[in-house]
Amino acid sequence: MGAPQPGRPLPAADDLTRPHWDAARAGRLEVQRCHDCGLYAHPPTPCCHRCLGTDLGFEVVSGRGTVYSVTETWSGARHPYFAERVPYPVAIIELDDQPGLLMYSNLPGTAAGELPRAGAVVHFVGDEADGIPDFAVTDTPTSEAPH
Amino acid sequence: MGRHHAAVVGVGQSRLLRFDDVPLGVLAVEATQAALADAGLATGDLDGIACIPRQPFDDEGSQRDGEHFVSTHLLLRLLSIESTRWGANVDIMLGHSLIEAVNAVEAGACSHALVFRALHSPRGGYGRVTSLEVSGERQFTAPYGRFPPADFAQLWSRYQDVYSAGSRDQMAALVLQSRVNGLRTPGGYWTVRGGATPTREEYLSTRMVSTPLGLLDCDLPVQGCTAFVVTTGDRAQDLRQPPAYVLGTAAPYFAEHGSVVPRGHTLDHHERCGEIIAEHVWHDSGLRPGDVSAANLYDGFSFIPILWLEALGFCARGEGFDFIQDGRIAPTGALPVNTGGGNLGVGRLHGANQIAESVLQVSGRAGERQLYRAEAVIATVGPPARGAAIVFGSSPG
Repeated sequence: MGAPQPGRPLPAADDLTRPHWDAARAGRLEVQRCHDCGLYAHPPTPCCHRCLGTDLGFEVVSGRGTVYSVTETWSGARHPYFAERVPYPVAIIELDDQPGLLMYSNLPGTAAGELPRAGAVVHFVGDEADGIPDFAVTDTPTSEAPH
Repeated sequence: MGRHHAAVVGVGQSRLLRFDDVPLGVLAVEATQAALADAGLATGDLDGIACIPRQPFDDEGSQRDGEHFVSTHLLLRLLSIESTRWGANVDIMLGHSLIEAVNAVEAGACSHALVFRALHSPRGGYGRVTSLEVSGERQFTAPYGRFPPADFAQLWSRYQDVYSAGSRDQMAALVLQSRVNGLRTPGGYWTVRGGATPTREEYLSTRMVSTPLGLLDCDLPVQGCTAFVVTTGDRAQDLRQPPAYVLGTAAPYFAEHGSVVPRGHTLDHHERCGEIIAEHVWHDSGLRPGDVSAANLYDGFSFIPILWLEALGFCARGEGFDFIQDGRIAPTGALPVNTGGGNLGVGRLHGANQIAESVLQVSGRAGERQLYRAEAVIATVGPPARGAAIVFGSSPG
């Protein structure tokens, strides 16, 4: 028998973040939103960063966005699960729903050494096995350049 | 006359070790005693103390004072000092601790303040995650395998995409110059241990960590401590060394970034924070970029000095990589950068080298590294979003 394979590090949901993760496991991308002023917040917060409102809930967002920045990790992965998977991409995604609304992604479907550039269009894809939201590059004739 | 009247009058460096064979508290005492001896002061003269009692990344497991970090309180005990008139465990980084001490001395809250930075070098590296469940802010990063230095790699990669500039080939100029400079600094990690300066080919071929960041773009973690003594310019006249006068400071506190990106490590945020720091430090010092003869810019990762060069106005946005070519940042160049080697050239001391080198240059004590002109030198600590800047001068502002 071989050694057990290390599992992917998974979120330990807390009171604030549980709805986001529960939705992700059900295949939906939900982000916390202020019912008073409409501002999205990720990570979830106890009060709205703009109006200080405390009437906050979770809403399905568009799932569309662009790559803000991206890297391919080749070494120094600080967890055994990822150390076995180098090289792998890590991207920051900016959702179309609100400027500065950011999420991480491993860009499933991206070939090694073929990272998209900042500005590439992406769309939400759920990770059914782990319940971790992810994003894949959307095939478009022309990817917009950043700025 | 500027508003400042403080000066750094002592610099002390402990041994730099690779791992934690000697407790960090012992090295903090070593650095303190060296700084006091440098200034010509005794332990009993200290009546102020400041530091950042924190490690670069939060590791799993215990965090023991004197082993993984050193607080002001513990160092006072190790120095057999019962109390000081003033003290602060300051958030953020060394630059903020030093500027707090400058403020305290100038306000009369204390006379001789010790500022120190002690860095732990754990076996197995920083920021490891071994558990299967991650809580807190890392629940949004660890499931994607986003570990440092991917955050810094992403700053550089976005820069490449936004400005269509910034190749690894161009970056070699800065990394290699830092290693050359570091070998001229007594006590530097490679100065003591030996080892040749890497070639351009070695820089380009050494293993990739997180694109475009390679191994030699990362500073080497070391176990060590650097300490400084701050007092007023008046008291400095009676001490052993020529004072390094504080001409201007900037230590802003920035609003929480409010995103899943830890510490706000996005290029836009760093550029904005750098712009604010530049505005403060040039205003406070009454100087302009052309007035300083050298810049010692925080370089925990090689891309960070590029951010600083552009933010401080030494060159325009998107031109930092062109600026560092052709020997412009060499000790004989138009703007010498990190003449003491910085973190990349001497080891990860979180900006202590930038402060120490600036102090030594303006006080004419840099030995074989001494620049022909060093009336005013700027030092920065931290990447801009956690940054501070100080201009030192050889005469009062």
